[in-house]
Amino acid sequence: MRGFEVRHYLIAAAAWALAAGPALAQAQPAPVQAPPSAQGQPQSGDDDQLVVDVTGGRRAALPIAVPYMPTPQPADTAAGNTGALGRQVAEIVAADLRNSELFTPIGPSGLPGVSFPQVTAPDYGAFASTGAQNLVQGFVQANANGSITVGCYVYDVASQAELTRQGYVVQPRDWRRAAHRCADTIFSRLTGEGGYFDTRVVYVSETGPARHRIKRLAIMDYDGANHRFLTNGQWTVLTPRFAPNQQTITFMTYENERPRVMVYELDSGRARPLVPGNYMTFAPRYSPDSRYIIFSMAMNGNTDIYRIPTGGGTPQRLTNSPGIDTGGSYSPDGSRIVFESDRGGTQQIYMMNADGSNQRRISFGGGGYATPVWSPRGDLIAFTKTGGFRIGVMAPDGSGERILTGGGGAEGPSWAPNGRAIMFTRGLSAGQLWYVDVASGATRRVPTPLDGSDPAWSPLRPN
Amino acid sequence: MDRTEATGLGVSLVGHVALLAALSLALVTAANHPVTPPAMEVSFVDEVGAVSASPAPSVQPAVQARAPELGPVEDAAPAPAPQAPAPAQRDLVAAPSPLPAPAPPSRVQPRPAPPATAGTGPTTRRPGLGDLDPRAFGRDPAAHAETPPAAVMSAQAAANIAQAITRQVQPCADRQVYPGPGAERIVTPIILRLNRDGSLAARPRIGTQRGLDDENRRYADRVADLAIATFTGCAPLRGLPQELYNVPRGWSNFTMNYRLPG
Amino acid sequence: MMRRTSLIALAAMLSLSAGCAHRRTAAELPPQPPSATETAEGQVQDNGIAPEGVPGSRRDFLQSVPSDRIFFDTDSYSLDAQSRATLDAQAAWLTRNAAVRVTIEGHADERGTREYNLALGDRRANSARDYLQSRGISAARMQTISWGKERPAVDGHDETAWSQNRRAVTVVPE
Repeated sequence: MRGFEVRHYLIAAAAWALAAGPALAQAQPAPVQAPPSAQGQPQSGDDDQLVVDVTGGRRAALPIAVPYMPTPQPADTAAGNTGALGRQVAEIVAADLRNSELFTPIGPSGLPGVSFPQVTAPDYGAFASTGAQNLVQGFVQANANGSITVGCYVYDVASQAELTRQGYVVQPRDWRRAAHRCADTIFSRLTGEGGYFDTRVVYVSETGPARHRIKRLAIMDYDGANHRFLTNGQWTVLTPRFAPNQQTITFMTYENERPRVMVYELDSGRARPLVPGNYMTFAPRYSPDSRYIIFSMAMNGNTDIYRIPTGGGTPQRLTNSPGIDTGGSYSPDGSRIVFESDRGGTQQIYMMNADGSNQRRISFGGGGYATPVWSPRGDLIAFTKTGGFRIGVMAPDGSGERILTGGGGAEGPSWAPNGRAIMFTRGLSAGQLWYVDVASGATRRVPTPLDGSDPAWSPLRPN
Repeated sequence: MDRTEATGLGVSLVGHVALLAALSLALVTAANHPVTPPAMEVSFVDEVGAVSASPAPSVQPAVQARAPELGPVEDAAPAPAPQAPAPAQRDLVAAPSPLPAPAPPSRVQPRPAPPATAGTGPTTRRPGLGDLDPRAFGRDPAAHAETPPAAVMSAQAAANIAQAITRQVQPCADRQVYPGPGAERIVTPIILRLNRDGSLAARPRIGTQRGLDDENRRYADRVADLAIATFTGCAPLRGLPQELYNVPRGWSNFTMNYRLPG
Repeated sequence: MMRRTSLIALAAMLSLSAGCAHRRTAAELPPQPPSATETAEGQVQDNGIAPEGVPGSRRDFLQSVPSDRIFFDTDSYSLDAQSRATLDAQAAWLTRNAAVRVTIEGHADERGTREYNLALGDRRANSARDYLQSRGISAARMQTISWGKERPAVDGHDETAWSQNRRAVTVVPE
């Protein structure tokens, strides 16, 4: 009897241990901090951890403080004293951010002064009352070899954390470019987009009465600085474009009353006709690799689109319809071209492969469409809506049409290199340059010395 | 941002602060609510613990209760011990869950004992308790199987805590600026570890974001910024119940899923 | 801040532009006004160069034909009866003055995008030229040029102005 009891007890205990042991091992009190792997998919009601869902945000300009930038050692440079440059750099950064319509810069004037050690250890308390959510700090320093270094730092005020930093070494004549590149760094870190402030714009500077308009080719920094004329106004010039490699500009001229496309070399200042022959050529655009220019040629009352190597050669015909085919623009990958055509009776947007095949209409929104331009991001096509003259965008398949401008009189869009902003002409016969932010539709006038039209935005300038 | 927008934002901020103050006051008074019927149970636990501290040196092995279920015994043993074990079996089943007596019970506070005693749900059988009739303590035995509610984050308490946290960080969430179209599809979990005073114990950690696609991937880092700023801008959190700080699913360590509206 | 910077930039740009040297041609000519062929519709132009009424001169042409220009509907390049009548008279004069070569200008009003209007002006100029050719004028005597919307005849923003700017003009050298 006793032996039986013990034996059965042992058997039962062993069976129970085998069955319950693993369960017991897991039934320990759950640790207060759940293992990090459990965080991979937190859902509301996750049993391991409290989960709180928070939704909030606003569509508004981001308030950002931009105080004057100190210099570790005041020194004179070919561009001025570094102390003065520090103030001017901050002003350019603030102006760039304001120009984008996505930021509300605070300062530089009116903000507390920043000492050089504070640039990397900000006094957040001093800026707390400004309402800024982000803070820019920087410095300007003269280098022994004559160059200038500009440092640029971005901070999050609530988290008191540095978000990014960048430094730029430039020649004194390019000091404004360092400021623009600092603004590009800030912009891209705080919006997730590439910047567009270190860019140039080539456009037609206009003046005079509408019947005797004087038009000159001009180039400037996108903010109007470093402005200079490239022609003297003796002959009308139209529709300039920047080569993606920024070595040349192409445009149309009426020199000697022979309207045709020219290619202008920025380094040498020399210009040459692009296409041999006497027919009118116009509406030029570069391919993304800068190797080709597509253009329109009017022959005996019919206009079609052709392609020619940028250095010259034999034109290759791309379209051959009895309608007016003009205004071609390449996709960023160079595989397709959008253009406008009235072969169906009204101006509409068409698409074709880069070799001219598979031409098909993509605009079906009602009304007329003109001047299609492909965004550098490839996601949108900007256009002029001819009824009412407004700038709009659509997806490359023609869907999602959205009108960006109101008030009429707008035409000829040109994309910023980050695909988020557009410059265009307002004023059908006496133009001025305007700018619109694509997401918000906010617009502002682009200041130019005289009137202006046909803007063309350069890519970001190479480092 | 023009003047009307700024005025409206200022008015809404003032309103949020006022609401926040009112709700915080309400929360402070409400924090006392996880009330104290457990107090009685704690004392009960002490008693029970004292009684059950020593396994009764009873000579009635629990296994006796199993004897009838085993196969017939070959040994021609005399009849087993009298049926005294049988009532013991019933009483074993009815025995209350003995809460182990770690440090807190010695203090017998009105606060419910925190530790993870709730996790050990199923009652364990303690030989020797069988001769105690729980009904002598005026309690229904069945009720003893329940765990004291205030020692664990119930669904209701979790909802209250989540609401309290959300209310406090909402003004900061509302301040965050959209970086670009499609950013509202991104959900960013941030893992927050707090001190008892509601301040951050460690730098917030970003979990794996959801809702990323080719269009909005460029905004991922920026939305993570906004998630962190939503919390840091409104930290430290105030008025969260201390007794729910360090429980499982307590607010000492929680995840906040942040996203932009739209 | 912006304004101050803009003013300084404007003054600097204006002063810079004064000294700007163009790069392309040798002669640095000041901007010239466009050639004075059309200051008003159909008016006799006293240019002081050709004596009045010399056969084959522009003055003679303008005195002989009802108009040196025809007009078009919006976005159109087709000829109506009045246009054809005008062109018939021009063709007759050109037949009598067989040595004269002409330039036919095509224009559009401002309510079109820039490049399309260049093409439309070309259509209109060729429309007139083709008709004159059908009336016996040799193609070798006629050149066309499109000015798009760059040379409006009338500065205005209503249909009265626009209708006068949608035109093809036959230009006889002085």
